[in-house]
Amino acid sequence: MMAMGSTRERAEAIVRAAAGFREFLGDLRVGELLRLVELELGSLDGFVEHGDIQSKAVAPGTILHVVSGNSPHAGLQSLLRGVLLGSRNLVKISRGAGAEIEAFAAALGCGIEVSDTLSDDWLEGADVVIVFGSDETIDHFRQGLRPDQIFLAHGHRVSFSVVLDGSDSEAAVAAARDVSLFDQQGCLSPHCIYVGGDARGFAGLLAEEMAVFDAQQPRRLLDIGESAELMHLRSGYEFRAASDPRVELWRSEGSTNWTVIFEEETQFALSCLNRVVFVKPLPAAEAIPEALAMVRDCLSTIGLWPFSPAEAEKWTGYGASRICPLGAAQNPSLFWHQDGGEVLAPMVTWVDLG
Amino acid sequence: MEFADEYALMCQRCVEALAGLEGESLAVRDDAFDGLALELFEFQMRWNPAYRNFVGARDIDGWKAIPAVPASAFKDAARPVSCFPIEEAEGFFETSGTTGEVKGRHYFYDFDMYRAAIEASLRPLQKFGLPGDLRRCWLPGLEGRSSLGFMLEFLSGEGPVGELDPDEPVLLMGTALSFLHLFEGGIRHLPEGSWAVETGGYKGSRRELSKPDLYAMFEERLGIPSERVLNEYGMTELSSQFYARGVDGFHAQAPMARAVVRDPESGAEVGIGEIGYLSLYDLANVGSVLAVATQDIAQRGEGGSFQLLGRDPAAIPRGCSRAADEFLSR
Repeated sequence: MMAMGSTRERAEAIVRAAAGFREFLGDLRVGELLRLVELELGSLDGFVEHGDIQSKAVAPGTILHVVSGNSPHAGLQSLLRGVLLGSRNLVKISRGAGAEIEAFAAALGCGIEVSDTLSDDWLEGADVVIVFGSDETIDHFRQGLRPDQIFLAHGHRVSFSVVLDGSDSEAAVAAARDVSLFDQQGCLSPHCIYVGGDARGFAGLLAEEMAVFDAQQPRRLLDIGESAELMHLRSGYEFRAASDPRVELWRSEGSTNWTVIFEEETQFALSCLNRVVFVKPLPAAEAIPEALAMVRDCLSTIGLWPFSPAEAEKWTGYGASRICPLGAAQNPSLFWHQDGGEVLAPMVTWVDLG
Repeated sequence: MEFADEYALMCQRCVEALAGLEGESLAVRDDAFDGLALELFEFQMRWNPAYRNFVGARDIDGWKAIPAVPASAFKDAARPVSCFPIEEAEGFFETSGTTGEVKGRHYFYDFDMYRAAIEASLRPLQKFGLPGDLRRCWLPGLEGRSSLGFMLEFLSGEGPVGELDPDEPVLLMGTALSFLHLFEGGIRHLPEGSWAVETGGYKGSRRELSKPDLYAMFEERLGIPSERVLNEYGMTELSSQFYARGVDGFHAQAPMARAVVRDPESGAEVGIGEIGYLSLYDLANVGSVLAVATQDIAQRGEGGSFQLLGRDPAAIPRGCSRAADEFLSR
């Protein structure tokens, strides 16, 4: 199929293949996939009006996706977009961490190759190279490409949440979901929750909900290094909390499954991941830029409770490219601008008539 | 009793325990270690309020049950891990770290106990066959208030290595990075019978060599076979050091310090051959805390020994935020 067929046929194939990947891709519909193409490209099957000329988007022949091993979302979405464009897709996965990608590729059928090693042929033959990874990985690939190859880099990002009323137990349920899903391995997972009103009380509510979520969906087993790091961070805060009333800690007993750390200090704090989250008082509006200064350039998502477009708009100036309802951080829309950019348009070239 | 008096008494007790070691017994005997550790724990509970608060009300039935303070707690300037007001310290050592990173500080009421621990820590090396009378010299390359720099200077009693007498074997000490720089200077075989102590560490550099590769270079460039290369494992937060010999060597129990390899999930000591993180118990840490938890991963060996598997597991890139962390620390 892939390179063959109309955009609709490819969209239908994607929807069929994605049925087994709802956890990561959500509930895809053919109409939405076509709408995405229409919004970003007009059409892939013919010329569309473009001012006083006619233009046609030409999909790249071959797309190389270099995906990171921490969570499959980004890789699956990237592959989905490549298939929607009708390109040949090559996916470089991390060793031992690409089972979902391989399964999705198999479900989609031919036109996709997946490997945990990267050949020179792949690199040289790609018209578009998409890289998810650290700054170092991105630099490595950027330096090795020709000027005619389109390079799209997705560096690492961090997210946080905002709860305007700390007494709202429903917010704690939603926050526990955002923190716990996928064990904070993705860029959309909150590290910090800024809480208006009784932030400490909210931390207690959140701890209860973290335990509930953990009982339903236990965290994966950690490797020894992750586990030791988590233990170390936890006991560091326990040491502080013992003498500093501005710090309090809630934790799963007898395991490292989840940890909630309340801290009056409002500076954004990075979690060591794996269901460790900081709860902090919501700073006054004028103090927010300073609290977020460290992460301003690498923010992804702000999960907001309660969500309203008017309230969300207030949070648009801090560097995050997405403000969503709390509890939905892990489920971005098909239409989202990942890292603030269009998702199909940067990959195509255009042919104009007129 | 005043702090100074009680501190002096505690130090004296530890030094006496060391002096009592004879022949084969190179570490403070188990029963003596247990008694001293519990005595020191009580002393630290009395004089260190942050530690007292951390421990709370618990029954401590032996040295392994003494609550360990995470090494990161030494970074908390508001609550120094110290039994005395830090203004009264003779000095402190500081952890290395990237720019902008908070550094940990270990304050010392005096350095006498520290010097005794450094010298004592070398004793197990006799078991490895290290001659006791080798001239000790060290490679430059350490800056700041580093405990390692202090240790190297103290052990050698002289400045950085200069001209060597071809007939006089030496014990050459330095960080892994300083040895790498030495290797890059070309081949310079050390006098026959020389030994080397590398302390690990490539900080401040993006370079890193695997241990087998590093040890191969000791032989190739300096003429020192790997069985005469020792690795020193120490921390700013400790006073004693642990030594291992050769590429796959286990770190031997130190005369005044013990290591316990623990399961991070349960905190329980793992079985021999199993892997966990290291908690260290150092009787020479009189003025701070004797029990320190690290993030270092190790395999538990026989007789209190351990093999280090990762000095810094936090440096392993993992997940989105890890790289953001790297990004932020630049």
